[in-house]
Amino acid sequence: MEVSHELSSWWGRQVFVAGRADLWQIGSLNVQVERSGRAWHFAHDYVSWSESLRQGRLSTTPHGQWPKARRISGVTSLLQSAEAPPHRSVLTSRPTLRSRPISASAEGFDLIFQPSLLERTYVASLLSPISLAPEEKLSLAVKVPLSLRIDGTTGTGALRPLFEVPLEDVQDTWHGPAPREGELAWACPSDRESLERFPSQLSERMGEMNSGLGHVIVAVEIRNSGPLRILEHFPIPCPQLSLFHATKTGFWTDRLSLEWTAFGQWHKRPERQPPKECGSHQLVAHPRSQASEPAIKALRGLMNHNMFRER
Amino acid sequence: MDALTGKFRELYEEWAKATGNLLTWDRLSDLLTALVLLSVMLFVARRARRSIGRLTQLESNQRLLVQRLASFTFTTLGFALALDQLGFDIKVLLGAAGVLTVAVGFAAQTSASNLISGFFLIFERPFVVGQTVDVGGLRGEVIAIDLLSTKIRTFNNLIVRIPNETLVKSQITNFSHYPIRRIELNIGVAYGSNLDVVESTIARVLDQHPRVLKNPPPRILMQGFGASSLDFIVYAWAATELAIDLPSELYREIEAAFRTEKIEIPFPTRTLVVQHVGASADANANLNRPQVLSQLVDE
Repeated sequence: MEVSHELSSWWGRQVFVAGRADLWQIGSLNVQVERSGRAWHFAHDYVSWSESLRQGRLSTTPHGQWPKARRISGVTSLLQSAEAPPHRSVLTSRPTLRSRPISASAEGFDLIFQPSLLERTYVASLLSPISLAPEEKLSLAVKVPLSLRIDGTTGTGALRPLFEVPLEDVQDTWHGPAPREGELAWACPSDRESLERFPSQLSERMGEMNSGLGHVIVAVEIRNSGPLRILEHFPIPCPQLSLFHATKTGFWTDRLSLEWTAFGQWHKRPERQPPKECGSHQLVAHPRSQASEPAIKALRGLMNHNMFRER
Repeated sequence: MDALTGKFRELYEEWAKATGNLLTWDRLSDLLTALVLLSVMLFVARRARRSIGRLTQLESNQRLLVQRLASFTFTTLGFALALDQLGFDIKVLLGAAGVLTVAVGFAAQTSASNLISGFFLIFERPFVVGQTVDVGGLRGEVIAIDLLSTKIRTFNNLIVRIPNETLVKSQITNFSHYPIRRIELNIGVAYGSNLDVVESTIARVLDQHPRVLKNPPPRILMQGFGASSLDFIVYAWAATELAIDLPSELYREIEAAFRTEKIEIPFPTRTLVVQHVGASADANANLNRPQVLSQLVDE
């Protein structure tokens, strides 16, 4: 029998009962967790806005805010697919079940839900392109989806990351001047809704911005050190940023300085502290990776010289 | 210092005389110096190996090769210095080594060729371990690049050892070099279909699929008038590791979307016109209008 209850926050320790399938609804994300004798099993999918409105999960406020996270205990197991096909579960589509094996001596059924930044660069698109004069600076606050990381035990006692998934159904994209040069990145499928422009009034609007569920605000300063350009999108190097949480203002990252060079390249420099608008805060996670020093980059480039690379 | 050395020398020579030892003080001094030189160079070789081992910028194969080269160089230098200290003529040894190298070179020509090709492969890096390549029609994952050969695991789980010389001479296609790849979908719709609706339906499927890259954007092009269908080609970009599975997913979703939009996907048809020889002009005139007798699925 399904029992549903609202969660005061979607992260933190979740007590799990063996032999039962539970589902967490966090914003548009559904995550189902089950534990068999030898493995943890995870499945997830995303609910579309139209489907959420139909289900009553999404309120019809001007900003379409998601309600609080919800946990539904005792949902239909995905492991017993013969008796209960996936369409009978709360998950909307046919989800892929991901399993993490556990040792026979594994103890503990607690799961730790952790907020984390995306593991790839996020490409933010502007609602309407902005022209940037040479040496002009622009301050923006960007709403970027967070990831949900679930830690649990697979052996004796030690907690390990078991599953990680973005809280929003982000889409693959490429960030770079050409398909042979750049990096695989994330983009928001709903495209330009994630970004708002707050020149010099960030603090007035931040409460409104951070009202969404499962987002982090990145304060970005963009400087154009090249000729006059039209800015349509820009990168947020999420793996190089720290994640902070402030009780009053939500999740924040380090301030980010982006310089758009004369050669059309982005120089990304995290400033290793959140903006002052963040208020009293605490560090949630260090950066996943550090930006390479120029000398290391040059050496790596030299070593990666390839006879098949086009010049 | 000199006084102390002199004292030692005196003591040693007295002891050597008493015991009948033929090793003079000078020879002993050279021997000790040679041992010290050799030990220092062996120590330097070991330190160099360790230091190079910590260079994370290098690939494991490159690191191993540089480690071996450094170790070999310092060890050889150590032996050469030690021998020189002991009074051996290094020029003669080098000359002998040269002759030996030529002899070994002739004897092991193939191995030497593979070895040199191995150096090229390791430093020019047409591929690295773990990438998927096609070498002369053989497709698989590279599992090891050694000095003499490269091992490829084919998709049906066979290990193929390819001599490096062959690899250097062959045309190599690396499927994993870039993180993204362009996939192509060939789609045919029935004659009479609304082309705008067809294009917008395909575009919607591509736009809604989270694994199709938003940038570079997909392209939908009409390819021509086929035998039974209006042919489209779709170019979409995706992460390299999805290049096998994604087309299948997209074909299924496009087929479902076409069904919803009532866009027909035709199958090849053949129209047979039967004309009676010797029949009346009126009858033939009627028969000149195509009369479909049957539709055959073209295998």
